[in-house]
Amino acid sequence: METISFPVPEIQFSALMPLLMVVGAALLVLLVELFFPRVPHTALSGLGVLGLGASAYFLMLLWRNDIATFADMLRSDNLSVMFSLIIVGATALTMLFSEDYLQARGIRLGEFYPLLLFATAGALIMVSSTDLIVIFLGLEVLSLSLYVLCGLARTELRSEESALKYFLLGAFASAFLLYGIALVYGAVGNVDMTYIASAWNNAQASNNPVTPALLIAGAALMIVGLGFKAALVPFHMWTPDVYQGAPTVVTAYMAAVSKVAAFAVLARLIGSMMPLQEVWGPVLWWLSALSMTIGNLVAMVQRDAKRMLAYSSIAHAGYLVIGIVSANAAGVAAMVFYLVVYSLMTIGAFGVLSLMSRAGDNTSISALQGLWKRHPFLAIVMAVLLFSLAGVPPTAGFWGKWYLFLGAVQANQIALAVILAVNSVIGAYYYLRLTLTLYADAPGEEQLALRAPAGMVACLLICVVGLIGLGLMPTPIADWSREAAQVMESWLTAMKP
Amino acid sequence: MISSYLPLLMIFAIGAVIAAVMVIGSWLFGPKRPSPAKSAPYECGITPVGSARERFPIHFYLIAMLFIVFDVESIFLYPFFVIFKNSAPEAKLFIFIEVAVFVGLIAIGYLYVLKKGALEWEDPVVNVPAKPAQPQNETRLSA
Amino acid sequence: MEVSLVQFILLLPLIGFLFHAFLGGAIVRALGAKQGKWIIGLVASGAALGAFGVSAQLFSQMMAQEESNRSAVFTLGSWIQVGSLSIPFEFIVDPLSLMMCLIITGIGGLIHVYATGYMAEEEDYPRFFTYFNLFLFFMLTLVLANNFPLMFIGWEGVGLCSYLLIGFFYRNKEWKVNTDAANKAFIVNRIGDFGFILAMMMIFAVFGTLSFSEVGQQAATLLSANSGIAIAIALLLFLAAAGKSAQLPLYFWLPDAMAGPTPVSALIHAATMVTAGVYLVARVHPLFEVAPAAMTVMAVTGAFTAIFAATIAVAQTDIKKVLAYSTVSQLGYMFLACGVGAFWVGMFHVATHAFFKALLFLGAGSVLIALHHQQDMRFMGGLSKPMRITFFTMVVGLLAIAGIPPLSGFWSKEAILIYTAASPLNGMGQVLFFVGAATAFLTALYMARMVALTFLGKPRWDQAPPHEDDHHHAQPIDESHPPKERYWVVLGTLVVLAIGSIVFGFVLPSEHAFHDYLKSTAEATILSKEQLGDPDSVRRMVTFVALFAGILGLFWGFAQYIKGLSKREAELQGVWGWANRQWGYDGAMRWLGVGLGGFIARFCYLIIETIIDGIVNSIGSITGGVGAALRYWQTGYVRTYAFTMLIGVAVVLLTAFLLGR
Repeated sequence: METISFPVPEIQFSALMPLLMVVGAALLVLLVELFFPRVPHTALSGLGVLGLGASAYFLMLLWRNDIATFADMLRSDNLSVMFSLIIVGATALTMLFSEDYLQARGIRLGEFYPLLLFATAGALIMVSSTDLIVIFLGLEVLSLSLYVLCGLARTELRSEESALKYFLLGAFASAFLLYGIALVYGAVGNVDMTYIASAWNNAQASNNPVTPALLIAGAALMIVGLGFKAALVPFHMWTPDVYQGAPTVVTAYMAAVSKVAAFAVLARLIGSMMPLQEVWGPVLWWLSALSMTIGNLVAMVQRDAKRMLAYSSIAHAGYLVIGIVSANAAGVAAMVFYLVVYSLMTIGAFGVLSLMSRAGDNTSISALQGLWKRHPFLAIVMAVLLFSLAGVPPTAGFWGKWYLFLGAVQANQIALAVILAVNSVIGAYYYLRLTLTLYADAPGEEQLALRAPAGMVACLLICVVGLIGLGLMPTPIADWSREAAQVMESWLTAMKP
Repeated sequence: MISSYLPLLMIFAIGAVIAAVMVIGSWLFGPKRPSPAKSAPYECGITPVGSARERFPIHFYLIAMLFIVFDVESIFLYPFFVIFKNSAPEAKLFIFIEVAVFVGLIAIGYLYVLKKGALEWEDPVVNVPAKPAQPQNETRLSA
Repeated sequence: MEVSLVQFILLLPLIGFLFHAFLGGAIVRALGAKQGKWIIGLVASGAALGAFGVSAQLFSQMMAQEESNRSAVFTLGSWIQVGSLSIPFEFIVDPLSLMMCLIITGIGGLIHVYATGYMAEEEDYPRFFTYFNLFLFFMLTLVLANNFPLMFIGWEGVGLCSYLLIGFFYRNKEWKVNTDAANKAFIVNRIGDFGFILAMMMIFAVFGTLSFSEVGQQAATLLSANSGIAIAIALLLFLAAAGKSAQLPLYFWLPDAMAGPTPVSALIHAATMVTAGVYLVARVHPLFEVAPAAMTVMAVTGAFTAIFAATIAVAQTDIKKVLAYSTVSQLGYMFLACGVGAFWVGMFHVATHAFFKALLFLGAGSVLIALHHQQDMRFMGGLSKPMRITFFTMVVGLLAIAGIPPLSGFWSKEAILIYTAASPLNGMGQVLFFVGAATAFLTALYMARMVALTFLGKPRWDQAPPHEDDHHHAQPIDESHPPKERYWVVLGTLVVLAIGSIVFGFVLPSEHAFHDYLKSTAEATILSKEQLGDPDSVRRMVTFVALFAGILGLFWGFAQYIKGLSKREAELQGVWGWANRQWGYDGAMRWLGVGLGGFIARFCYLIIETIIDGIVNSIGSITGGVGAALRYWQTGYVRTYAFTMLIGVAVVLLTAFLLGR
């Protein structure tokens, strides 16, 4: 038999290191927990944070190094590094306060940490590839871990229900995404999204420009699949139920990381489909407008703080899409900046709620009443977070919205900018109302004492200092975001017909 | 391009038509003379007792799933052997390491499964009575 | 020169602030009041004097440079970057800003040292120095900033510290006086800040930049002389300056601000913060030069404020109030100088005034220590014997402010009068000169009155009604326990400042030396020689008039008041009472602000409550209703969710196909 020529791909491990660190940490934690079941879980989360730290270190080394390796299936450019850093940071923040939360809720499962790290690995894969199959792989790794994490509170019906709902609907959405990928492959003959633009241009330039129906359908279905992950209206229905039912640490993680990953892919996908702007432009325009409006309107009438934040996260997803609809580097930079801010705000806010839900498992808004008296530190932290969510100036939330607004105006999307402004007002209404509740007097009944553990305090301090720091001096992160978005710029110009 | 799928579409259409004709035809033209014996689930054998929807120990599913995982793994190993045998010597090391990583990861999974007792048939968990059933409507998550 | 030294000038007070804020209370608790206060005082004064050292170092390096080379910008990093708006953290080092730095850190440092004695018996010692060091930080930011927003940070920061320090005694029995005064200062200053912000916006709209250097260079090209926008910008900036520097119509917060501790009055409300307005005008003088109409407004306002406050000062019985009105009056002089185009002369007076006014305030503080915070001059007198050092230093201050050569005040006041007299200013130069000369006479008069009532004549401090202050002194003051000077740091500071006032005068035999120093940064560049007038033509006449006015005022004051007040004056009858009550201005403002303003506010409230709130509430309930309706879609069933998704997919596909050709 003749020898098969098996091409040994060139592998640059530097691009792989961040991922390897996370996966390695996950496996290590898994094995440690397996063979030494009595190891305190603080040690497990400590190991996890170490792994994430190492990952962040390798990521920083990759900054300003464009690497494509594994037969171009793994790409490491400034954009992917920036997104990866957000994901790793958000995971570390979640890890900081999860140990105590799980302990208090009686969820003593060592699997939590490996699962969280596997999910992070999935998200990292998603953001650092342009290969649709690899992206799908990452998405599934992320999703499968999240399904399990949602149902981690095994003894609680609500947790189980949320896991099942997420799984069923998630599988549904994954099918759309996969179908979309298949159609795009059928049209383009390649699973790398960078080929989409040239395929479209070729079709348009040929003598007989038929409508590349496959390509349009594929692109639309991929937007659907990613829209589900990003919780865009009308693919948002799962969000409030799952966010409310899942253990609050998982909610915090999910709201931040899964959204970052989805938006990273969406941004790259849209970037790769620049010539098809008339196809996805109006679709995303409507998704954005609907998400903002419906998310905010429904959030306004919620009585449960966790549910309210879930709807508000839908609205924030709508804001984020503006950066993509703008279809310029400024818009993408604004989106990246907003994702940084959004991760800090969301994790902080759900973190505070995780303390509340521990004290009597009650996250209704009325339970937050009089927080100022019970725990002034938490009340101040929550107020800062809510101000930032509302976009009140000395906080970073203001700059996030401002950059998005500017990007939209520069891209001549005036209507969307106006909708953003109107929605900010609606949002401010319920955020500020919640802030007032914190400082209102508690009803007569005796309130449970609150205790903020060290990990929680550290996490909240990072969030609050970060938000105020960025509010006073947004420039460094804004500059990095711009630099990361430059990747898109060069990409876009290269692809223009 | 679409036209090349036309035969496929025709097969679907013809199949659907034939199936429909057969079902509807037998329903239209067939004589209907029902009797108690005919209406019973089975014409012969024992009369069914109780519900068919019994609770199975979750271990059935668990072991079935684990079987599939390792089954698929072993299937992956066949092409590996073929390629490994016939590839150029300089590629052999690379291929071997790749597969070693793959098997290693699966092995960690196996260790986990083994240690957690998923493969032990006599699992005390099976005999734990089910949680008191709660009416789903009361705890359902909705707005 | 090493511009990066600027960081250390700012950093030292900031470190001091953080130290006191986070460790101050703990240190006092850990080491006990005595040692703890000693350490806090040491750190606070050390921070201020250290910053002075760095400023002096930078100053000597700057003076070694060529004349044209003395201005440099240090950029710490970028701050705000939005669209075409770029605002870095940039600091300017030039003769103007360094002069202010030297005053702030030098005189500020001395006042810090003084305060370690003056405040020694305060419980809130760490809090005091926390605010004090923070004030230095913000004030230095204000003068070193090279763009409007950065200056605005300092501008607001010093306002905040001023507010905090005026209300410092909020724990006293008569706390309402302090908090009301603090609120008044803060609220009145808001009016000025409003002008600052509006001016900033207009400048950005016209120039596209907010950097001082760029605005200054382009003012003549981008703004045509006396155009509406140029006048508007200049007037708004002057409104800001009038708020901070206590000019008409916004001066009336400053006398009340004397409720704060005396070192605060000396540092913030005499030597530094209140001169920020003058500094602002000098810093952006090209913006004023292109609006001569606004400059006329400034000159007239300044001159009128000067004489107005001087007449009020003559009728005050509270020693600190005299000094407060005197400050308002002297600030009026500075604006008069700026208004006639002699910006550097205004800054000259800032420098000399900082010296002698700080000296006078601190001397008054020494008197207050001795008299257990009895501020009423009707119950002083005859203190020259028991308080010898204070008396002599106060006399130095008196001679300086009265404009007796060769003390520093003479040179700057003479310069102001010379340039006013020389200026044509639509024919008003002469008028304003006579107003200024009359003010000079009044200044000498009321200062002589103050010194005479306090230190000369018969002792009246034993006739004081029982005065309750919050320092529970062991002994009352009476025949057997006469008032005495305390704390060597207090006396030492007085002596240093007095020597400074004298020596400063000898260093500057005329305004020329100062002119040489500041001409690169604060000399009119756009206005022509004709518009400024020729100072040498009037020099001799002005010198004579000014000297005569000062000497006459001094003699009159001493002759009149060496025996104490007449009954009519002591009981504030007739014109004395009227003048004492600021000629009714404060009452009118109170009526306007609290009465009329309150009426308008209530009226607006009514409108908002009924009409606007009605509209807003109905919008709110409509949106809420929509939200509630949408909520029903959220059934909780997976089938509904999946179906919704499916509809979404269909719609997305349809949209894509229909719109994607």
